[in-house]
Amino acid sequence: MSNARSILVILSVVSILSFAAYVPGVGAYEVGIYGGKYFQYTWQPTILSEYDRCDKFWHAIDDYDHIYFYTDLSGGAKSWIEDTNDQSMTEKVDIVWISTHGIANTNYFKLAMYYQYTWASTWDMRLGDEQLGTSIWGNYACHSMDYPDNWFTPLKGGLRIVTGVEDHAYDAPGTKNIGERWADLMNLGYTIAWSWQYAFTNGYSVPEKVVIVTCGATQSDADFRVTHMRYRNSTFYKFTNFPRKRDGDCVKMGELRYTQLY
Amino acid sequence: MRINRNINVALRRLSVVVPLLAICFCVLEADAQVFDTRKNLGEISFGEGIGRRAIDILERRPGAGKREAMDTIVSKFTDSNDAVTTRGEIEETRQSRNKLFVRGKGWNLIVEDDGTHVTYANENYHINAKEAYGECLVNDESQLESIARNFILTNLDGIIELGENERIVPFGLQVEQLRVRDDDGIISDKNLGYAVTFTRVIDDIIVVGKGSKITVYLSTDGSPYAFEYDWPEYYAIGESQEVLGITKVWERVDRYTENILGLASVSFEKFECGYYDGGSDDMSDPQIIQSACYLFINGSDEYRYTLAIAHPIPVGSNVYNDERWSQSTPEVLMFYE
Repeated sequence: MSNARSILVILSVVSILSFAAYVPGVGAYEVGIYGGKYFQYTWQPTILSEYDRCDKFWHAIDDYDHIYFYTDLSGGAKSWIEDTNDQSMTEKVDIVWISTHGIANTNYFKLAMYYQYTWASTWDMRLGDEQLGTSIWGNYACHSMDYPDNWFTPLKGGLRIVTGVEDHAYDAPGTKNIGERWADLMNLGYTIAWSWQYAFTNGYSVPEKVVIVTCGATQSDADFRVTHMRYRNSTFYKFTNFPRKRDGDCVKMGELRYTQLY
Repeated sequence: MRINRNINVALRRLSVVVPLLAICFCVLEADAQVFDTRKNLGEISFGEGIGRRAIDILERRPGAGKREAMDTIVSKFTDSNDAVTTRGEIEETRQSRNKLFVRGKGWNLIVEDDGTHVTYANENYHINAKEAYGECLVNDESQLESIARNFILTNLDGIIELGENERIVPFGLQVEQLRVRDDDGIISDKNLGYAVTFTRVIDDIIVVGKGSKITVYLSTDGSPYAFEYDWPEYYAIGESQEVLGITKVWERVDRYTENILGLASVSFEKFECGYYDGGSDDMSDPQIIQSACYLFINGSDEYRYTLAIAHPIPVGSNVYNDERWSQSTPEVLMFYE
């Protein structure tokens, strides 16, 4: 267990150091991966398929993009995600993939960190307004979209789009390649939302409800953003072409849902 | 900068126009009987497991390869004027991670592994259909099933082939919805598209897992615009597997959840037994197809934190080792006894 954690921490450090020598290509984005498999004193259950899921996302997204960090949820993960220290890590990437446990109520959604009883909370997140500014946040965590309005707080910093699931995100062999499928479709130029739902519709669908949210000044603005925003291979609808919506311009939520009826 | 400004202006204009087009809601009439396969499977599995004393052991026959599969799909749809088409110029964009990526105007094709796993999608058609919203040509679930089945039988003829004693049955229905909030905060969901999934049945035993699945995606105008299948050919290897009785199955499940997962209590969301095919990307060679029960559970450990798990547990008396299916390996099997 400690060996596996050490490898992840080393990977993270190597990745950051390699950035100094990295010359971004045209259209290359910065990517961050947070993957929590083990938890201190098993305060949260071990997630068996975690590294597979994160590794597969990594190997798919880096066909075109640069992995700025790939780290577990120890160290500074909580402060890297929440204000006021998110500019030191999370805000340095365009897209974040996070896979861990989650809990939610009507006020916040919380992501489990490695250290006992520590969580990163949407209540304390404001993304998209520092450094490069995070644009896309992908959650593979239970309950991340039980209350989509919880994502208004991070979105009001200018974060462009958030993906997640309602209810459970299963630890299963069938979910190991969800991140890979999402990355592959986004790289081909499909919308971020359709790519997310495709990732879960692998013929043996778990979980049963996947959700994608954006915000806008008006409902039609928010709806348009969630149904059209793409990652690459699009002249008009690439996410970078959608102006960031902050504070007063981020008051309506665009929400696409893919629900398994049977 | 000027280009960016123009793009932003275009985006703002479109964001006003699109919702104006969306003037009616498509409503889907439920027909639970059409999609009762999975519900029935759950009920039978809870009480009987697979419901057989023994099954024939099968093996996935390796596919013809990625390039051959790509050629087959491209030639099959090259004259199509429908949403699913490969008409016009095509470009092989890259090969990566055992996948072959091909694209044409508005569509992409991904062929994986040995060619038995294929994804085709023309999302542009779907987006245009959404923007022309108002043609609610699909109104009930049985109609969706019928369109999707017809697409498989006619358009994927020669690709989705059934062996002796095999058939396909509808296994899942997913609906794509835009959640709409009015000024009073009242929520309604507007249907934008559907995905219908089928599975294979062999000698009346359903195949669980990612393998032997076909999903057809449809717009609200009833047009298939995307599909994905993981569809190998199976053959019997001439060996039989004795299947545990239901009491022994539950003993094995209890030992797995207690000894391997360390869960103090579990609640079952689903329990589905049948032939297990983990899919083209998750099978060791030889790709043996044997009996299993798929657990969908929410478990609590001693600290009462929960974990949602979907794991296939082998339910044969003699389990064939599959190194990429951890629950079938000797290291885990010893905890079942």
